[in-house]
Amino acid sequence: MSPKPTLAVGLALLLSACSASNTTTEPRKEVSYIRGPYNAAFFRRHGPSEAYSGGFHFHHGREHDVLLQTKLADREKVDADFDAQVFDYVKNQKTKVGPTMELFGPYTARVMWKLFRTIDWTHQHHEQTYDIMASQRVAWDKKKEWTDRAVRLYLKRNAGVARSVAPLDITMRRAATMMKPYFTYYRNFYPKSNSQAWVAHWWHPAAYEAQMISGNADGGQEAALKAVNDLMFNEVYKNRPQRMLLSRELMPRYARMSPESANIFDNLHMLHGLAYDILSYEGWTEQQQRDELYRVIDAMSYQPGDEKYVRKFDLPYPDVDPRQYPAWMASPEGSMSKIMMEMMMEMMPLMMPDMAPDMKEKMMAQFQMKMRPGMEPGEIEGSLHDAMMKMMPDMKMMPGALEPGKTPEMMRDAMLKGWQEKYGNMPDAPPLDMSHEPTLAAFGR
Amino acid sequence: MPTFISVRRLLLAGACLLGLTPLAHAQSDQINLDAGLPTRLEDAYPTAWGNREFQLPVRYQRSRQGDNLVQYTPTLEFGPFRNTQLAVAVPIYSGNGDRSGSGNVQVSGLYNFNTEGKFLPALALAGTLTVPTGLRSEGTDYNGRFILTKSFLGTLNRLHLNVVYFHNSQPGVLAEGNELKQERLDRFALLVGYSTRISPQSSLVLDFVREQRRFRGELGSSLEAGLRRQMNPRLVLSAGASAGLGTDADKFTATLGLQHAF
Repeated sequence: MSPKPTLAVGLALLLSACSASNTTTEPRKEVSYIRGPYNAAFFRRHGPSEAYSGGFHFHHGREHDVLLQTKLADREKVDADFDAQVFDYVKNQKTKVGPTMELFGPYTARVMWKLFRTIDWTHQHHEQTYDIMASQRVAWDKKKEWTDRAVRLYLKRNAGVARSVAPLDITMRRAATMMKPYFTYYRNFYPKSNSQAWVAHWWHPAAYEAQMISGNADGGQEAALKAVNDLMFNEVYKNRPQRMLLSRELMPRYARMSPESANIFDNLHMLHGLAYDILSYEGWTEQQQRDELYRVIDAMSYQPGDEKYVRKFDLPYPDVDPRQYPAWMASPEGSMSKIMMEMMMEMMPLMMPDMAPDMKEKMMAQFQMKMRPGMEPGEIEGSLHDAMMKMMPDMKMMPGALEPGKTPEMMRDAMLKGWQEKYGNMPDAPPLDMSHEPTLAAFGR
Repeated sequence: MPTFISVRRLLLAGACLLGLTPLAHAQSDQINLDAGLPTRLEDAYPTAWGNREFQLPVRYQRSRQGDNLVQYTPTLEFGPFRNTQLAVAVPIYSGNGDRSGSGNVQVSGLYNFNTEGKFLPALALAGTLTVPTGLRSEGTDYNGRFILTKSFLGTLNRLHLNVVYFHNSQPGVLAEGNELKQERLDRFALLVGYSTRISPQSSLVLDFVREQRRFRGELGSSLEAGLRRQMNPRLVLSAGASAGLGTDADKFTATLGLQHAF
């Protein structure tokens, strides 16, 4: 055979392999940022805060590769080293520009590209909404209008990967991950790295709320964000949050202005945690981890009808000052643990219909420990599923509970029904009047 | 002296580019390689769908004969569809070197088939149509480029392969001293390169070029190196240089580049 046909056949085979095979590779499908008068305003106005955010995104990107490429047996050293590395990135503002996930997680980009498309696109949404709040070219009473546009285009331009606008209460139930064999792995086995994520997920809503209480005028946002950043190093890092804070807790004003955007953030932040759980679980192959991760991404993505639920959340601290760090912010108890507890209670009748009260008490004690980072005395090692199975080996597992990429539909349906019964008729979180621009002076201090 | 003037122009152009930095706001990506920014190597990834980007590579070229040429190539690049990139460029040349082609309009496109997988490389096909609107240009020329990009060792160390085919529809003849030099009808170039992130906001590019040069009988090899730096979310600046090997390649080139999304 002459070289030319051989080359042509080889090229054709390579082209077809690259474009058709979704098991080995995927389409790139990158989408550019949404244009508006506010673009890059946060970078220009709040450079140090952009750098801190960049440090957190270093954590988010790098952690995927750290977990995929290291063995669980090495976790203690890996956890401590990575924690120190992230702190160095954040504290010393190692990157001034928010990185894409691939920049620090190149291996994961090759085996689970859709995960990075999802995260990067939602980080773009974060950036858009920070920019809108920071831009003095967007009048205060137009902030909501521009934010609503950013949400609309976020959902439209990258429909396959956009996060849901429904509250986490619903999307977590939809994903039905609680009894999967990986759930709680990350927080239990990598507590320091996990707490870096929870510092980040304190900082992000605190930054939004700092913008919300200080208005557009010169000096206001600068002062409020400086206070938040100082607080991070003086208090938050020294006494890190023991749970993932939700938008409704720490950015209630922003959540009232744009509940869609607030829910998108919570849904992304939870996806980070679930992705790290899955990637640190060694019981599955890479392909199985990917199948499960893509299932979770789909379950927590935007689905038609999610709009009905956007304001279905409570506001436990409507007047919170993001420049302060009261005990409730650091506590393991809060809105997130409330959601988890509710889900657990909704599932238990299915899995353990005849459980004795003393066993129930022991189970709930294990459950509480599993929700907290690290391992505590008396805590059974492994995931929540491992702990439950060890205590009750005959516990009934629902179809789909253990298999990668499968949804335990009975559990999901029971939990969604439970939510509907408890919260289906709850009043909407009230909208926020944006006609009056706030100032820090009016807010106090 | 021509050399002095050209180097000074290059430095001035660089200063202008750097001077733009505090005002610019763009979204580019320091690891996404475009030919000419700052080396001739291109990776297999297009600009994002919906992106618009202004690019300005400024390339100083010193030939073996001591001629100097500065090429300014203002380019508008955009992503009209997913995985697809189009660009329009009008290169302008100055200096005492051969300025044939200055003012031509170049329309180019790149289609990416996939993001790289664990084993399969990212693959793209690209092409450029050159319309003879410029100096001493005749006939519409075109080129095609086959591009592979693959990372290795679970890192962001990337290897790139570019195979480029050029077609000159109306080869001309150039008198140089007592010699008549005839342009090639078709020619090929092979680029093998490496790129990596060297700091959170900077990347390094290294490549080797082996090419059939424009005139018959001439073959050239060059080593190229460059740095790309993400200055802010929307702006990448780059700087690079190359050294020719053997007798036919350009002796030396230096490039400064700007990419600014808007």
